[in-house]
Order: sequence, then C-alpha cells, then structure tokens
Amino acid sequence: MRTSTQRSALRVQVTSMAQLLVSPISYIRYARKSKLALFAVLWMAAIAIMAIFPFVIAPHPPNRTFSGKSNLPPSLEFLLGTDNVGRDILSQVIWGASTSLAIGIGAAMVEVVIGVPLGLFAGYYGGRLDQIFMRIADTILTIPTIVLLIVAVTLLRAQSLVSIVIVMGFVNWVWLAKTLRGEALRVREEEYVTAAKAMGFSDPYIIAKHILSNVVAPLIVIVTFDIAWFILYESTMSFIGLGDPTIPSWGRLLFIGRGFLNTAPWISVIPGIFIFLTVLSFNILGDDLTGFLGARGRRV
Amino acid sequence: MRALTRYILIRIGLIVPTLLIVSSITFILLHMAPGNPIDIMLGAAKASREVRDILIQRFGFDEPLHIQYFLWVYNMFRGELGLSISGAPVIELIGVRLWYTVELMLVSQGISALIAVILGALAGYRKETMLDKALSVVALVGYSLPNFWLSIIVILVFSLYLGWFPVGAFSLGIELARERGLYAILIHLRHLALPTAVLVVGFTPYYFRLLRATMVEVVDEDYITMARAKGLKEVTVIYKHALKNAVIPLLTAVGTSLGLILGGSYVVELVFAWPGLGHLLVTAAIARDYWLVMGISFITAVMVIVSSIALDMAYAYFNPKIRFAGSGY
Amino acid sequence: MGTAGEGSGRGALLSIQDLRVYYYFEAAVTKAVDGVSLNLEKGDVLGIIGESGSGKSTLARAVPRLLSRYAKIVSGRIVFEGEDLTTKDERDMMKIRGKRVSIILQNPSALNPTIRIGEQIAEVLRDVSPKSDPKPLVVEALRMVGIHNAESRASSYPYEFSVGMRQRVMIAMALAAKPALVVADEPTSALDVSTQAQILGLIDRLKAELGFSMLFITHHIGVASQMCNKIAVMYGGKVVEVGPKDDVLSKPRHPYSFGLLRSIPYLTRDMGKLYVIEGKPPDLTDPPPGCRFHPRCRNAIEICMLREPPLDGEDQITMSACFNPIR
Repeated sequence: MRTSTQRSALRVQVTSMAQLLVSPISYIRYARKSKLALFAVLWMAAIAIMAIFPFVIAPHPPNRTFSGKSNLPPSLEFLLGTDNVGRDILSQVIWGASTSLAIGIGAAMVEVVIGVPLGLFAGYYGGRLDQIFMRIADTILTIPTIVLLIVAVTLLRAQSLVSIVIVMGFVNWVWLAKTLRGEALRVREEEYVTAAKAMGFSDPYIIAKHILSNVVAPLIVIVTFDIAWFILYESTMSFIGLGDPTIPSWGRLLFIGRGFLNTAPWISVIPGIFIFLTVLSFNILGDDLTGFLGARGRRV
Repeated sequence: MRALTRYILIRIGLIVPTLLIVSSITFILLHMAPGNPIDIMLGAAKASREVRDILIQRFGFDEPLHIQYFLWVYNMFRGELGLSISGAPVIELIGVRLWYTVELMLVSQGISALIAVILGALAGYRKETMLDKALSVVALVGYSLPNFWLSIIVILVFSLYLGWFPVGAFSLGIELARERGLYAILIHLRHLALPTAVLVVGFTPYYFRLLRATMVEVVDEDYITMARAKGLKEVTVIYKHALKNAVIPLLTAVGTSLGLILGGSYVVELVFAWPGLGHLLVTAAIARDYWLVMGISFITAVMVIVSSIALDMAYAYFNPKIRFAGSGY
Repeated sequence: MGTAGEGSGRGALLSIQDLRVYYYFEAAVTKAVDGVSLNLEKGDVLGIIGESGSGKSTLARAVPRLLSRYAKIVSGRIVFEGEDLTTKDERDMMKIRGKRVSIILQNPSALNPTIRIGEQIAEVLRDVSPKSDPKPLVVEALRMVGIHNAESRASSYPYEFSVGMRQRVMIAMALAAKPALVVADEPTSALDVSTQAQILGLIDRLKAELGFSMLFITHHIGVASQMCNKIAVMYGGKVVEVGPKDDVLSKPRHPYSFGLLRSIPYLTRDMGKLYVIEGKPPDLTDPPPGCRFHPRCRNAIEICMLREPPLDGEDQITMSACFNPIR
C-alpha cells in the first residue's frame, strides 16, 4: 500500500515521463532548421517505407531469377540492373532495407535488454560486483567488434538471420552498459534519490523510476548510433561471406558483386550507396539528438 | 617512487589479467561451439597422427575441463596457438602477417592524425564559422562511408579504370625477394597507397571530431584569453597554446576506440588483399579454421592492449599533472 | 589638473567615450555596457566598483578588445595614447596587446598548464625585441614580483606553484614588456586575505617603480580604497558616480554608492541596523526605463522613471548620475 507522499511522488514522475514523450514533436521543429537533418529524416522515411512494405513496392520477389538476364546494367526493365544469377537488384535492395532495419533494430533491442540492466545495476550497487563488471567490460572492449563477430559466427556456426541479430547484440552491449553505469553512479548521489529511499521506496523501484528517466537521453543517442553500427556490421559480415546467404541484404549484394567488378560494377556500387546514405542519416540523427537532448555518452 | 613510473607500472600490470580474461573468453566460446572440441580443432587438419597426439597432450583434450582450461591459458601465454588446417603452426602464419597489419595501421593512423589535428584545431578554435561548418559536414560524410564500399569504388576508379595502382595480392615477399632496392620499395608503396587512402578517409573524420570537441572546451579557458592578451599571433595561440592542451583528452578518447580502428583496417585489408591479419582472419573464418581464428583474436587483443599502453604512456608524458605529480605545491 | 569624468579626455592616457558593448546570444541582446565614458590620466589608478552584472568586467575586456565572440562594441570610442582602439583590426591590436596594454585576470590559473612559465613570459618579450635573448628579462621579471630562485623556477610548470605565486607570475607576464596601461580584472578576488594583502602591496610597489597606469576592477570597496586614487561606480551597465577616491568614498552622492558604502559593517562602530539595498540587479536584456536604479532607490522621484540621469557634477572631476542625489 502506498502512502500519500509516495502517491504524489508517483504523480510527479508520470508527468515528467509524459513530457519526455512529447519531445519528438519539438525535435521535428528543431530539425526543420537544418538541411542535413531534413535529408536524414526524408531518407529514413523512404527506407522505412521500403522496409515495411517491400511486398508492395518491389517489382519482383527478391530471390526470383530471370534466366538469361544475368549481369545486366541498369535499364528500363531492371532499374538497377541484375546480378550474376539474374535477380533484380532493385527488388533486392528494397527487401534489403527490410533486412537491414530489422537487424539494426533487433540487435539494438538485444543490446538494450542486456546492457541496460547490467549497466544500471553495476552503477547503482557499485562495490565488488561493479569492479568485476568493469574489468570484464573493458576487456571485451579491447577486442574489435568485427573480430568478436567473426569469432562468434565461426565458432557457433551462427549464420541465420536470427542468430546474427542475437550475436551482434551480445557482442556490442558493453559501451551502452558502461555509459549507463556512469550515469547511474552520478544519479545515485543526487538528493532526490536519497529522499526517495527515505520515503521508503524499494531499490528496484528507485532504479526504474528515477535513474531510468535520467538515463533515457544517452540511451536514445547511443542506440541511434548503434543501429547505424549494426547495419554496418551486418553488411560487413555479409560482404565478407559470413552473413546469411538466403536473405536478401545490401551486404550480400556487395559480396556477390566483388567477383564482377570489371564487368558489372553496379551490383556492388549501388547497394553500397544505400548503406552509406542510411548510415549517414542515422549519424546525422544521432548528432542532432545529442545536441537536442544535451546527452552525454556519444562514442565520438 | 615517482608518480609517472607508478602510473606506467600499473598500466603494464593490467596486461596479465586482461589477457587472462581474453583467453578465458576464447576458451568458453570454443566449448560453446557445437561438437567435440577435439574434432573441431583437429578435424580437418592435415596433420599426421603424431602431431595430433602431441597437440592432444599439450592441450589436454582428453583431460577434465579445468585442466584443459589451465593448459589452454598457459599455452596462449606461451605463444603456443595450435595448428592451422593447412598444417602450419598458427603463430608462424600470424608472425609473417603481423608486420603488414602494423605497417598499414601506423602509416594510415599517422597520416589521419596529422591531418585531423591540423584541421580539427582550426575548426574548434573558429567554432561555428563557415570553415568549421564545412569541415564538420565533410567529416560527417567521411565518417559514414562504409569502408568496404569505399574500397570497392577506389579499386574501380584507380585500379581498374585508371590503372594507376595494382590490383590483387601483394605476394608475400616473393616480389621483393626478386627485386631488391628502390624498385622493391616502389612496388610496396604502390600496393600500400590505396588501402592507406581508404583508411585515412575513414579515420581522419573520426579524429577530427574528437579533437574539435576537446578544442572547443580548451578555447574557453582563461589561459587562452591570456595568450591572446599577450598579443600572440592566432596561429601561435591555436597550435602552441590550445593544441597542447586539447591533445591530452584526445589521447584518452583514442585509447578507448583502438578496437574500432583495428577492426576497420582488417576489413580494408581483405578487399585490397593486403597480406595482414585481417585478410588472414576472414579466410580462416570461411574455411572454419578454428585454431587460426582464435589465435588471431588473441593476438589482436594483445595488439590493442599494447597500443593502449603506448597511448597511456604518451598521455602521462603530455599531461604535466601526471608527469610531475608529487613535485608539490 | 586631472579629470576623471566625461567631457574632456584630451591628453588623457585612456579616454573611453560613450562606449556601448552588447552581447548577442541566442535571441537575447544583453546591454552589458550602455554608454560609459571615463578618462584615465597617466599615473592614475582608476578603480571600477560594482556588483556582478554591472558591466565592469565587460568594460575591462573591451579595452584590449578581448571580448567573447558573442560581444560586440556597438558604438563609442576607446582612445588610448591618442589612437582609437575600436577602429583597429586584429593585427594592429596584436601589436598593442601585451606590450602597451596588458591585462591581469582574476583566475590565477590563467596560465597554460602545458607550457613552462619562463616561456610564457618570454612570449610577450619576443615581439618587443625579436632578436635578443629574452631569458635575462624573464629572470628579471620574476625577481621583480618576488619569486626566489628566479633562474631555476623559470623552467617550472604552473601547477608547481602555489596560487599566490601563480598570481605573481601573471603579474610578471603583464609587466614584462613594461606597458603603459594595465587592466586588472579582480586580480585578488580569488586569493585568501593574507595573500591578497601581499599581492596588493606588490602591485603598489611595482607601480611606483615602473610608473604604469591602471584600470582596477573590483567589487571590494576596501581594496579599491587601498589601491586607487580615483573611483568610478558602475551599475546596470552605466557609470553612476565617479571622482577622486576620498570624495566618492566619504561623500557618495548617488543613492547606489551611498547604499554600497553604508552596507559595509564597521568593526569599530555600532551602526545599528545594517543598511540594505532592496531588490535585485536589473535584467540587462530589458533594463528598466529611465534611471536603471530607480526600482530599488529610496530617493527616487517621478522623473527617475522617465529619463536617464546624465553623468554630471559641479566640476568635471566629481560627477554622479542622479536627479535626486544624497546631499
């Protein structure tokens, strides 16, 4: 049973959380000022549409091969050309948007599920556990993510879409956890946390309500940048040849195109433009969010 | 003991536990892999019965788990990294290629750092001017370019279309062995040029953004006002007074991103067939050469740790508070 | 005969004429200095007293043109040794700064932590005599400010010194090139009382030795009384009272100066209830109409809300800006 003080404290919390949710609207007003931000938003909208409605927009199913029409340059029939087995590149690119966004967001969710609780608990409780956590975290950080990915995929024979998502989330949560741990440490010392404890709120509750609301800003920023990273990593892994060969992806197209640079460069070049612009848009968004939210915790 | 010495010794002392954790992780991953570790590691290897038996004994594959773990870690520290499926010992394969990776890294990072420092200091000092905004946009674009895609385009334009630079594997040492002297150096440089260029395009923006950020904080400090108050030229204020202070936090920031830098160069190595560890890693992964993959990961971790310590030492040297701590007030 | 007020300025070392400096940040315009005129003769130590936000720091930095990028000299002239500094470009200002006009800042840590102090002093001298070796002059400058073992200490880094010593180094830096005018922006406000006394004594001695003039900014009336021969009181971006030290301190005319002086507790007298100036300093983005002090002024009359009082006095030496001054 909550006391009346606890209830009014709750009310304050809810209102401030609501204010936070309203901020996307003010962000859009902010973004209109910058041409870069405008481009980023438009491109992301385009990608999102491609990703959510590929079956509507794509002219052909991505894996459908047209015999005798392999390695064709862009034309009216195939707007972006065909690849080495005669699949339409435009369709693959559109479906690839789905793949990329799904992987990016999926891996981000895995990373959040692992990193947020670990980081917050380590920061809030501190002590021996925190020290161990930091030591392990720093060690994982010394190994390049790409290497970790390669090792994990190789050893675990994880080449399906789902396993790649999980592996990427597992490999990349450290930076997020470390940053949130820092925030948790800082917030822990604030007066209103002491006050909440004095009012009799339980620890997990305090973490969830107070620390979480402070942590939302850097969380959003890091996740935004990380989605860009995940898209890059997935493309890189597919490009290397360690991706899922059955799913259409931008990286897979670059991988296929590697063997035909002389004869059919469009196979590699065009999907790469999509990767580039998507990563660019996420980076612009992340930069703007950092300025807008005044958040700490960017990688750069 | 002087504070600086203490600082360095602590850093060096941390190598061992870190490497311990790294080898533990690789051990865990190995045993998480489906299948029998012995079969995984030695299954496809072209090794004779005797060699297999030696390895089984050395790594204790028929012993209980905790003994295996101990032997594993012990071997990693010794440099005994097992056998590749090609039959050659892993350390040998790594050893030859290590220097190519190091060379590519040093050259590309050196050039990137130089350009980034000069431009970043300028942009940070003249914040919000046209120059700064233009540079920042260029940096953003460069930073977002996928390096493997850029590599492909570079190859398309400069190797295939223009023919200025060679394509394909820089065969280890064979060409060099045949022609010594200046000609050999030229060939080497021709092969080095493109991958270096791609890495520079990728990393200069990264350093630029870091330095600009630290510079912006330094510029607001009082000692910069004093430098201007002394009537010093702007160039002097930026590159002598401000930069010396802005570089310090930069070193720390770079230290945390060493993994990122190395990982990026691995991918570029692959595309240009530059005979470094990255190239080896990928070919090993595709061939399911587990020993080799693990060995390369371990050595990679070692490289990152070593660079990290080098950076820490540079940081301690440049930051007068650490260098002279204890000399008292 | 020396003048401190508006009007003449002929022959003065520094003549600030109707200077306005505004800050432009985001959408707001802060009128930090809004029509200030002062004269400083050779040999003067002109003290500028005021609370934070009165514009005194902005004024101090405006003279060597070291304002922040958000600030702009909107109008007015700063005439130094006959030249108008507001019209000079950066390159010309660089020749003047450090050598003819120098500045001492409040923060004794305004020394670059990564450069040896000897080098930081030598930098000023290099422009004065580019060919000769600055080292002996550096050592002399350090000795002058009372740092022992000057030769060896010249190669030390700033944080090897205590706070008081660092302030001495700053003074050495400011005086090494023997400038004609030194602007001191609260030079002792960050120091403890005994160090403060030492530094003030040092500045006094050096002034007698080297003969420079000073623009001395402070919020501490006691310090101003000790160091300055003329005092100007600033409020809300304007000068409200100016004159020889004794006049201003013993017979303040402007209600604000009066309030300031009366709110100092004296240890030796029973003053009854302490005088308090009610209210808050004005918002300089939207200052009150008429006299800036009128909302807080006990002497305010109707005209104070309508028109700005001009800075005026019986002679041009002692002046105040009030329609209803204290008699």
